Amino acid sequence: MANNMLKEFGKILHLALDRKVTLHRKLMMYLLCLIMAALGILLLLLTAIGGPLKAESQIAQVMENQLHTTYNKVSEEMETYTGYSLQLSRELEQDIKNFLDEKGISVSDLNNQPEALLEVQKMMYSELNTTIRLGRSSGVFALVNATVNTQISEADKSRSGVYLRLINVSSNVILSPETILFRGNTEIARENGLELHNRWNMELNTEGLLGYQELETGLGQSESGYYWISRMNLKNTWEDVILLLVPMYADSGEFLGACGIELNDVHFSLEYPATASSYGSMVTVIAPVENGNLRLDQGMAGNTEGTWLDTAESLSIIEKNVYYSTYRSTKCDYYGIQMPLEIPGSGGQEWAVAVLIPRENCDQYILRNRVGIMGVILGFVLIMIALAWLLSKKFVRPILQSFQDIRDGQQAGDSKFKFAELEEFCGWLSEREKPPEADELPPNMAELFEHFARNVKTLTNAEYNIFRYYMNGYEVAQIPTEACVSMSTVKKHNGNIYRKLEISSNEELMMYLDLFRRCDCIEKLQLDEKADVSEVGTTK
Amino acid sequence: MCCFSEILESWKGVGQTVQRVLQDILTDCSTEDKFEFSIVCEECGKVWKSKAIAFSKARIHPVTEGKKVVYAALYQREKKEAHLKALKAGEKLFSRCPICHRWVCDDCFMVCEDLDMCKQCAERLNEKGSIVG
Repeated sequence: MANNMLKEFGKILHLALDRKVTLHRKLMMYLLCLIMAALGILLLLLTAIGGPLKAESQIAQVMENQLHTTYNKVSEEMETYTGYSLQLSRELEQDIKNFLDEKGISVSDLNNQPEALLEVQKMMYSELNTTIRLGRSSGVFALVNATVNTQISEADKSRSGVYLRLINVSSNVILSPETILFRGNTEIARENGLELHNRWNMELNTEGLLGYQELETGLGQSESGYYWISRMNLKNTWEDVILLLVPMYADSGEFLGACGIELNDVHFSLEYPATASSYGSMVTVIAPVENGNLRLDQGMAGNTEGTWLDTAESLSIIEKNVYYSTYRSTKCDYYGIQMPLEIPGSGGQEWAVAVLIPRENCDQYILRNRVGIMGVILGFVLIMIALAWLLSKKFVRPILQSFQDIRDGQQAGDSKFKFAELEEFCGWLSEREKPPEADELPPNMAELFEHFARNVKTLTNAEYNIFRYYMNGYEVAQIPTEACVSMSTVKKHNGNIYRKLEISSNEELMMYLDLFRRCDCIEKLQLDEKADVSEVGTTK
Repeated sequence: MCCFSEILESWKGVGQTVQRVLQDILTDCSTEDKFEFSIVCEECGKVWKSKAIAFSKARIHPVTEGKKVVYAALYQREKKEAHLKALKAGEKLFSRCPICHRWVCDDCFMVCEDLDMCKQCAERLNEKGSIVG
């Protein structure tokens, strides 16, 4: 049973294979193959290189990710610093107030009182030490509005206090930070086993603390109760810092002093290292925004390694596209994006967090990317051309072979033609070359004659009378004389004759009649039943 | 049927005498200076006049007797030519009714199904058709 089925299947397959293939089907087959191959390769390529096709949006995406991460981290740190500073100020404020109440003096009475000031500094150290260990800042400070010696020059800018700084600001040693005394009485260092900073000084200089003078005089109190002081250089050091300053007041409203936290540029650069990417190093900056320019000289920049970013200048935006902005510095241009950063206590100044990548690196990456894609597309086009050439050659070969067979006298039905159309064409040529049978008209001519003769039968006797003059070779101008009718009568009949014979002019009528005469078929137009109502002359 | 054959017989030769018959009703309206002819529709009486052709020697008086004879012969020749032209022109404008044998204008001649004829005959024989004019 199965054997029979296999045989039947074999027969059907054989029959199917023996069927002539049409040119159209074969061409469709080849084109489909070509399109499928092209689509397949294209899909493969798109899958492989789909990412780099959108280089600019990818760069922007990477920068956005970095920016959001940075923004969250900066916001969190600012809140942390603010929280610790406010806590510190509350504790210190209370301690100083208690101390002054106990002594029954005011803060101005502490001037020129080294012992009292040392006691105050000891209180301060205790709180500052706790804060610097809990917080992640690079330094903390506190000062009272008094100096140990009012007689020295610049005594109005010198204030007694303690300034502790981390020896190593690297974040991996944050759990056990070693501190160093930057400002304060040496007794503090001695009691607590601290080293003195190589730029140590007894008291803090308030000259660099912008707004401190206003606090002393009771002006310039902030709604938030604290101040962020934009980047400044720590006197006699190579370090730049941003300070958070929290003023302290007595119940009477007297200004007691201030405390705060330092954000060091080294600390910041360690916290925000340059992120290496395919498009170049990404650097993070937080800076005030003035007239659309990023004031790097007043802000903080992360690690600038590989970015040639100079933190002592401002960046201006020279161009904005859909994805990112172009920033210009004196040295080079950067691509970057920024996000406004809300900093309470910044005195109404706008701050922003920005992520920057050197433009040169990005442009090189985009160029490399484009060259790569163009190369791939060029390769793809070349492959497609080669494939098309091969396929067309394969497609044309059997057609040319068939033409050769026709030239060689191959007859239709020899089953050598690979295409049904060519076999049909060969058959048609054979039929055409056959001599026509005697007295036989070509099929189309016979049909035409029959149709015309049928139309002639629809003419009335009067119309046929005029038509017969044409049959006999008369010209239009001769008919009035011959038929004794006016030219208008002839023309009226002509109109009817043309309409019934489905022709449009006398020339066409003459052509038909000439064809009938040439084929010896003019007698087909003779109508016996028509009345011979007038004598018609013989053919001229 | 026999009667119909007789009628057909009577038609033979009509075509050959067409010009003579039309010539009979072609009226000469010529003067010494021009040649002009007219045909009157035998149905409605409308007059058609041929285009006037001037005699080539009009207003030229022969100075000698010889010239007078020559001009007279020339006049006859040109008149004959004008007559033939008028006859040919008239043939294209008038139709001869095959029933009553009158020459009628296009306004009085009808195209019918079997045989074209004058309006009067068509009415009389109750034949339908349309006026040519």
